Amino acid sequence: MLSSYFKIAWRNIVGNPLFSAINVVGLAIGLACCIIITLFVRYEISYDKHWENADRTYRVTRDFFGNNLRLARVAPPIAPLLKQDFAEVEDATRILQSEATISRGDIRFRETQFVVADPNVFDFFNLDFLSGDARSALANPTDIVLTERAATRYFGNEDPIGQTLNLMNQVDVTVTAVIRDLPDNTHMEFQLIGSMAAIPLMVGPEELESWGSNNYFTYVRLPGGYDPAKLEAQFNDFLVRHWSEDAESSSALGLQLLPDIHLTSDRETEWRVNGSIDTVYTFSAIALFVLLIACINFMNLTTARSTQRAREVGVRKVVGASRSQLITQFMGESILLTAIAMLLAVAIIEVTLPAFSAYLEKPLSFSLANPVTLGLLLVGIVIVGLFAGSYPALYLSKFRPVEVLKGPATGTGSALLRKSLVVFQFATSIALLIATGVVMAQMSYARNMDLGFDKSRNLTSELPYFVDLWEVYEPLKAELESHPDILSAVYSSRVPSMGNNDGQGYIAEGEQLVMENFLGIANIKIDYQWFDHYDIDFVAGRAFRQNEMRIEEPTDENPVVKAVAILNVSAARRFGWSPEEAIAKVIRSPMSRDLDKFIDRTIVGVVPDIHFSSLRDEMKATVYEEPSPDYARNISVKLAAGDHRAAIAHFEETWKKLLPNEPIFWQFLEDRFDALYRSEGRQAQMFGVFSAFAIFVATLGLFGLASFTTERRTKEIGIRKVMGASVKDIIMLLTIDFTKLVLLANVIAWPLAYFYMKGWLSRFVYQAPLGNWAWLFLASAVAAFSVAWITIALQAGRAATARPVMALRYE
Amino acid sequence: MIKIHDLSKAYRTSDVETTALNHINLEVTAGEFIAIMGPSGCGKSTLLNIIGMLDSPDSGSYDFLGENVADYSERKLADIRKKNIGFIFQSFNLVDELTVAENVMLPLLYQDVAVAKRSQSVREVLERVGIAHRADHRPQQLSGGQQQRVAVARAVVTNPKLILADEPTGNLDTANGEEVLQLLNQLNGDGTTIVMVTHDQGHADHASRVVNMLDGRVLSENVVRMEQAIEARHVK
Repeated sequence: MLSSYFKIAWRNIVGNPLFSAINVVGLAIGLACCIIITLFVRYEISYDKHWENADRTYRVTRDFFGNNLRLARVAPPIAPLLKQDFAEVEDATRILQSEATISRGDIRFRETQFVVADPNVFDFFNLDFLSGDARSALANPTDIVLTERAATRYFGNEDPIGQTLNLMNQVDVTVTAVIRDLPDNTHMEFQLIGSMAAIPLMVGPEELESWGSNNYFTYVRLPGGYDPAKLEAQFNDFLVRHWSEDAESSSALGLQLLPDIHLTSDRETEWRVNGSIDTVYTFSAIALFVLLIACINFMNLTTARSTQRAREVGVRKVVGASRSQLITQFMGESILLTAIAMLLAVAIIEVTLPAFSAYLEKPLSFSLANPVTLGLLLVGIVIVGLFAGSYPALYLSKFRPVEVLKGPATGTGSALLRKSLVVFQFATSIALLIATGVVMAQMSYARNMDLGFDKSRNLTSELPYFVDLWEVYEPLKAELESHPDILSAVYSSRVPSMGNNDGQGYIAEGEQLVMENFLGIANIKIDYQWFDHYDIDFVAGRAFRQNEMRIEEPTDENPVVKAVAILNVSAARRFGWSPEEAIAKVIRSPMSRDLDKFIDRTIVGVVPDIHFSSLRDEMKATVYEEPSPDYARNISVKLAAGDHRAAIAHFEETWKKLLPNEPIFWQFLEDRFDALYRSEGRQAQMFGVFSAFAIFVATLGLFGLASFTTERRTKEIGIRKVMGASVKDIIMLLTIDFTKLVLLANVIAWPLAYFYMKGWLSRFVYQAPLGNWAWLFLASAVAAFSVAWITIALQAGRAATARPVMALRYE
Repeated sequence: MIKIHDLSKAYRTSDVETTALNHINLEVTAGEFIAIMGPSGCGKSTLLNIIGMLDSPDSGSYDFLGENVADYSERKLADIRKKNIGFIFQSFNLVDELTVAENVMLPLLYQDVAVAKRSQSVREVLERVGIAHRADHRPQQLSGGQQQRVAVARAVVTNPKLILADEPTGNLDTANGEEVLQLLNQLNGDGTTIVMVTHDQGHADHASRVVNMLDGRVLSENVVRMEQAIEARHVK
């Protein structure tokens, strides 16, 4: 019996190449999409689950309400104090993410994955020690642990243990251990780990006591089954006790479970750009849609050509088949077809996965040798086969022999369902198309938007920390500006695209000196020519002057130092001033915890707000101040229009001359901005790929359906032609039905796409206006109609141009 | 074998009700060869479908082999059907995707006949209808007469007690039609009961009894070959 089912199923598949090809190709694309997305999703949810005690390890976060900062890092005293204050904190550890020039003789790299960590960091993150001892590896200030990759970079095949590396041209450090490279599926990234004990020696004795240096990733381990909310509830008292009486109104701490960080945390100062649970959901939904569209093709085509199978059903019933036997037979056929599709899907995956993997920068792997994978594929075949085959099997097996053996008969009920399914397919495709377009419109809006300054032709770089700022910067600037292709070179603590996350408390002159009167506002340290360099006009007042660039530190003898500042419009508003009112006002910032040393800055100018980070973030109130050696030292170099090669070569030569021990590093500002939208750009492209698949599969189905409809109406077409209908009339006749369906699909898709994409856009503070993407709705409709019409007209044209006698003879 | 009493059947569309069978009475004895005649729309095919349990009556009783099957479920009817009845259609109704042999084997599959026995039965019955040399062809590769012989083979492969033939010669030319009738005669001679619907008086003459129908009623029953009718009663 089974072999008979198989035989007829096989012959049905082979005997109807168009039908089978549409189904197999459609299902294969749907299955391949689903499997690739499943691999992606499985990878995304695997982040940080592999650490021992991952289920009770939390990262401590800090929010500042004044300037709306949500930080992934906290101040260094917090970790030891949490452990000291709370019995439930079993242990706490800190990691400081840094950058450093590290060298061994002539081997010299600018290491962007250099971190400094507490010695107990390996109790939290059970990394594989290839050599050395986890307990003592970071005991001394001059200890350093390398990953395999970093070790190979400096030592090749030599044994690195006990060998020396030079750190930031300052101190020699000793390699105490080599660990296996970090897996990629973690929210952290580092290749070299220095000892926290070095921080007081290198940065200063007060650094680890500083409550303002919110640069330390801090992790705590709580007892199993302990509710983290209980600890969070005590954080405010903790801050009041150790930091400030007004903590509640200005700052708060929080906890994030380690494995949740990758998909749910989107804070400023993350290790790197995290994934997003929305992306995971969206991609999953799209993959299911593509598969669903393919399954609908199978249902539609199978029921549409039911006339062809009706007689078989009648005969089988007449000779004794029961309905359940027929259902079994048809289900078997759809499972067989799905199995063939799965083979093709596996081939598609084998070919495309490396590209997807590289594109998503995730090491996705797929192996049939894995019995679990194989088992899941088989389960997938059965589930998809049963689902796709369910309706056709029920429908076909219901035929009554009396009716079907007489002549062609098709139920009108199924035609309605078929039409609904076509509407669903097209509505989904149109909505995906619109979504793709909106994402792209927002990307192009972000790229072309006026950011408030001129980002073009700017080469950016960063000067090392352990050199005297003025000693290097001034000759560098002079040397660079001497080149005809370099228009200007300026210093700033941050360049646009980096975000302005540094901040400070300010108080307007005359206000009482209490904590609650201080406003937390972002600050940026700049060179006197900075606004000119970036082509930013003043709303009021003037730019800095060269002689205002260097100020003294306040001392016990001279506790108040005078300086100048420039505000942006939002900062002036925070103080309650219009731009004009702000000029000549004085703002005071404390330089000691006891509030006995200050810098008083007279406001000399007000500038417009500019976009310092991506359009996801609001433009922040900002105070521009004189350069400070304590901040990062970024430089921007404006190049003349035209060929940049000579200017870049000059930059590199100058760097080599002035900073012979530092690896050269530079990046165009425009590339930095593009990188901000990298994940959205990818999302747009992924959307595009999947909606193309969805539309392709839906079109396949429509093509099949149109060909069967045309076939079924061949006699009608013949009679109409005998009655005088023209070819055009016939094509119209056949096209009008599907036109109505596509129209209905648009009506359904438009509002869905509109509201969904409104939601998506809401993650951006600055959104592409509706006018930029309203046309997409019409364009998607035009695309859907064109695809449908071309598909149907191809079929209808053939039927319409045939001689009527052929059609009449058909039945 | 068959006792039909006061049986009626009507077809309804949204606003028209057509009476297909109007208080029919009919008895068929085992071994008979009955021809049902009448103009288009007189209800003869409906009667045949009800006899074959492909359709159910609205009222009246239908005894098949002593059981009143009028109210049986489809599942039960299917079971009786596959054990006792073979069908032959005007339009052959062969499955295009299956070969001649496979078409003939179909009923055996649903009766759980052992594999070896199946092929043997198929071979035998194909020989009997003279189409064994075409066993591996597809139906479309055969002439109409050959196709109908395959359909006859399929109907008899399970050795049914009753064969129902709905205008079995309707799509055939005279010579081929005659051949099929010879086959039916042969089967009847071997003891199979046959009920055949036909338009053709000449073909009806092969039967032992002719039932004439008009507008859903039986007009007359003429015994064509008395000796066979008597013989049939004897068999019973």
